[in-house]
Amino acid sequence: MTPHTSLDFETTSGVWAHLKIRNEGTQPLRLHNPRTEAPTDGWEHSKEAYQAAILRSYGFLDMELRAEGERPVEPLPVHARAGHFVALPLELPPGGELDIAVPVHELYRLQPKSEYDLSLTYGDDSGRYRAAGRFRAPG
Amino acid sequence: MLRHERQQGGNTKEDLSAPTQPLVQRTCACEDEARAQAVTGMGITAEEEDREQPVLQRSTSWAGATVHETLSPAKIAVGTQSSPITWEILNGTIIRSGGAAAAAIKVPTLSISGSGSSFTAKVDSVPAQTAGADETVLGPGPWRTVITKAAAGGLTGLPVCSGAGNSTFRMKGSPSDRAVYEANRRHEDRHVADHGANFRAIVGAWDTKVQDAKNKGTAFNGASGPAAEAALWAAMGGTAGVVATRWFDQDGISGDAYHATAKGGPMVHSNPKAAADCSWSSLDVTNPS
Repeated sequence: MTPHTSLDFETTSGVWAHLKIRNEGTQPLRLHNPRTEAPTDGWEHSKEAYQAAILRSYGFLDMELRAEGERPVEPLPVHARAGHFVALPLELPPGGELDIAVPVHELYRLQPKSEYDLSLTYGDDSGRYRAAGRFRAPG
Repeated sequence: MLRHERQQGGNTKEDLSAPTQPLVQRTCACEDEARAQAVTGMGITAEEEDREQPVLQRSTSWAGATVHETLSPAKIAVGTQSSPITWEILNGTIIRSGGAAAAAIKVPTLSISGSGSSFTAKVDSVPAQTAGADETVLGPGPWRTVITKAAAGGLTGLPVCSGAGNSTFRMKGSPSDRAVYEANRRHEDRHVADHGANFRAIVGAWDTKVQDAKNKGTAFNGASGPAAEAALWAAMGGTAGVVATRWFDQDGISGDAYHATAKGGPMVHSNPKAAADCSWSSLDVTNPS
């Protein structure tokens, strides 16, 4: 059974997107492991931003942000730069959920009270999972 | 083509108007001493080029990389060491952010004159900028570390690794420790080459414009002192700080572009193993470089 994917937003402190992949099947689901190393010395953002930057740098996370009805928003220059070791695949048990938290406000310059469409695609050649959603940036 | 001038005092001058070629100067504890000399992307030593090329006055130089072979993929896996990384060095400072780059670049001095609503800015002096790279990579194997059995279970996913006690965890290079060690060095050397090429293309090109404006005594006008200064920096392509930050950001873009290639991809863990009592445990690691 295809896993269920969703994109939820939390806007109480910045804008956090949660890409959730839930195994609705009866067998364990093998997924690319999102584990990343500790942020490098001098990293100026959150550890979640580091994870997103590493996954994006190595092609395991694709993000596209559009201001409503407009062209894609250019990402800020947030680059993790470091080498990366991909851990053993993650085994998601039946009913289990993977939640990848992405601090959108650290990766893009958002205009207050504007609406945006975000799509996230996560995974590797063994399986890629996409979800999209809309949020309004806090004022 | 790169052109180099060995100045009195030993500084290297380069022709930044030429197409960029990576110049990787390694300062390392290399087994093969020949690797420690400056080598261009065409395999010609800087000293050979010095003898052949005409001189163009420049004030930027690329000092190559300082290499630290201190990392163990076993310790990185358990979180006691950081990942391999190559930082920029600018004028003796290791650069870990755009702000640090802006703070480290030396700022040309200007002379501003005028009165009323007519002011002129000129470049007064152009400081030398020396850049390079600080490269931290895997040391040679074997790579082992003692961890708890629970931690070994977290890394390997093997049920035998649980409960009390320790496990000697080994990360085994595949096809060999040496192959992974050398591949990691090639990977980070590529970042060094990109940092150098971007330095020439961004800071070097800017420096050439500033030097040219100084040599020609070019005047930049404005209705106030700050306006004249702003006109000067706009013509140069930005202030020193803006240009240094642009270099740092471009290095990040170049790094991502390399990581997206087959050879620039990540190292990958596989093949978990452990003793029946988890007294030892291991993973294989590959590197595509």
